[in-house]
Amino acid sequence: MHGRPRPPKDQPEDPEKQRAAGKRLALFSRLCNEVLARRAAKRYDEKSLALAGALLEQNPEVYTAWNFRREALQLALKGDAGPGEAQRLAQRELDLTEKAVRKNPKSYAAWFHRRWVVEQGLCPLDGELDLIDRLLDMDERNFHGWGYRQFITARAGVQAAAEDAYTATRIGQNFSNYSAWHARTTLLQRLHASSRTVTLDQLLAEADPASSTGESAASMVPTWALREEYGLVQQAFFTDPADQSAWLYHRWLLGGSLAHFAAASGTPREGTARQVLEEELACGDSTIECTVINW
Amino acid sequence: MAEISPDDFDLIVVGTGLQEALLAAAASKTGKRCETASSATKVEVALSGDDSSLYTDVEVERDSRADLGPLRDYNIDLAPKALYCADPLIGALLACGAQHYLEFKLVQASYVWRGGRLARVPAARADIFRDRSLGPADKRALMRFLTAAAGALHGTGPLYGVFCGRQPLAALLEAQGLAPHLRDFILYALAMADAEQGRAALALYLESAGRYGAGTGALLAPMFGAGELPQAFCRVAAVAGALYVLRRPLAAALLRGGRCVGVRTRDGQVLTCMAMACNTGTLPAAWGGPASPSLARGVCILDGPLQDGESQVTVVIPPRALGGANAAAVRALQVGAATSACPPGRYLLYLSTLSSGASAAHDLRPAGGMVAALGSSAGPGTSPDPGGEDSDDEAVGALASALRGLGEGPGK
Repeated sequence: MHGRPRPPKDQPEDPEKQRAAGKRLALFSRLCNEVLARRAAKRYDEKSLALAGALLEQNPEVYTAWNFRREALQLALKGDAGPGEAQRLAQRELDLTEKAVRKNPKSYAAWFHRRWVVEQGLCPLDGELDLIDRLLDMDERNFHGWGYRQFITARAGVQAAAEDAYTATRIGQNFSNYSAWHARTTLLQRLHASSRTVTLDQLLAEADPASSTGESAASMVPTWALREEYGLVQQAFFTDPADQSAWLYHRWLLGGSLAHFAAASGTPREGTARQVLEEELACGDSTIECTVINW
Repeated sequence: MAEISPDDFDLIVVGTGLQEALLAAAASKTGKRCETASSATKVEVALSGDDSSLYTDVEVERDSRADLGPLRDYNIDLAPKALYCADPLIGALLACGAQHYLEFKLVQASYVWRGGRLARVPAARADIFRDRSLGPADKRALMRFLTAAAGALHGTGPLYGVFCGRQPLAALLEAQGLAPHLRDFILYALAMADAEQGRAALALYLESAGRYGAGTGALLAPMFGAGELPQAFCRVAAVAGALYVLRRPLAAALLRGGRCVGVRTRDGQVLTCMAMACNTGTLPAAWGGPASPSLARGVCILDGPLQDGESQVTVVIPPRALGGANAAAVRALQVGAATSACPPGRYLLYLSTLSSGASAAHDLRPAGGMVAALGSSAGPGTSPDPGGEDSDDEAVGALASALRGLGEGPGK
């Protein structure tokens, strides 16, 4: 969770708390060993799954337990579980991941498991976006949430324009949000990929492993869209030049403008392309009063 | 009428306004904890008679075609309040446990009347980012000033020395090189100040901004209206053992040796006490304390919000911004059904300003005109439906006479 202060390190230990923590630790160790033993013995019964669930609710980072549950689910699906039963099992997994994510919103293992369950295709996707929304309300910079959102929107076929509006809202709430700006980069490519006219030379250039993918990605975005994005990101670094996420996004946009400039060399559009580049580079100079800027 | 029993108290408080309720709560709570008191501390609060003598002129206007909705759903305040999040009153609430009886809603936006329209005050970082009407230099200047001022509060930063000086806020802002419209924002909307003071108000604003959620505003509006505040403190007092007596007007206060030792009700019962507290308005003019500034207050019932999508907002009309018609700043607070102060679809707009000596209607009508102009203008920036118009306008103008010295300071 961003924005939470760390507890001070040199606090005197509370004997009561230590004792309680010791007890919890002993219980946890027993539970952990039991689950690992059952997995080694390949016991996929309900009791073992329940124990694994209890373990993961306490500590979502024990990824072996997640593997265990995945194996159990796969076994059940391969067996004679009907569609209703399969859905129920999948829903159970989703509920467990939700509890795990509440405990630790940044648990890689829990998010991976949720993604895996959704990929099995057994559950409706309606609640997913709502869950992500609630998570991002609590911590709008959680990149797990953003990554999962991209996964779900691609799967559910959500329109890129709707996502555009969503990222814009989140950036509007707090523009110190690198994940949201980053989501905009992939979004812009999706939005404008179809409108791109490609020449054979460009295709060959992209296929060349030596060309930097960053440049070619941004060059898919037409100049008018880049101009709008420049407008948006300028608001951010005019308000707070010390905020890095805006500058990083600006750099990505500059890559796009550079690609347009390179593509336009020798054509009448070269002049305008050069002008755009110069203006944007000058933005950095005008805000140089803040020594943090180092692009 | 039944006799009041017991009839000996440590403190008798007359009236149940906010100040009286606070005092009653404080007295009974400390009395409860004080075990050395010879008799159990009890506090009596009696409603004095008729409060309408506080007001010198009242005017009500109503559009007969308008549908007000169910009248039971209205909770109209005679002394409306929006509180700063860091207001000492919030501290008092928390200290005595009155927060259990209250709920608040955040005020969603502040506006300043500029150039014939409402300009949204960019009060926090996210607001400044979103406001495209501010140029880059303005954004930097505003952000820099707000950060420096916040730092100065904590004793650091470039503004610290300047902030502690004696310069009035308006002059300080000008010296910092802020453009006039930014000065207006800070002075009238953030610092809630008229030109003279405001440093303390700005400090209070900076401490309040974002206190109850990142990116949220600095003001709270009580659910069910500001009338809930005295009620909450009254409850605290009652729970702590205070005695409430209602509908018992007092006829006289009994003095001995220059101190008040009791009161006599109109029924003739005598109650003794060690001290009596009441608002200066209930005392005869000869006793009254220093005269407080008189206010003109008004309330309008609107059938649509001033700005779409925002139910709780504050508006400030700087002095002389209505074509010179108002000498003092006019402040407005709009609340909607979200605070349960009125039925859904209706909004209450409270107006107040320092009285110019003329009637309240004279002082507040230009502001009312502003509201009407918002509704009837069909510009592309305003709401598409004519909901912003106050087709229904019930204005209660109230002017507290200076003679009575009611001590109603400029309401916040």
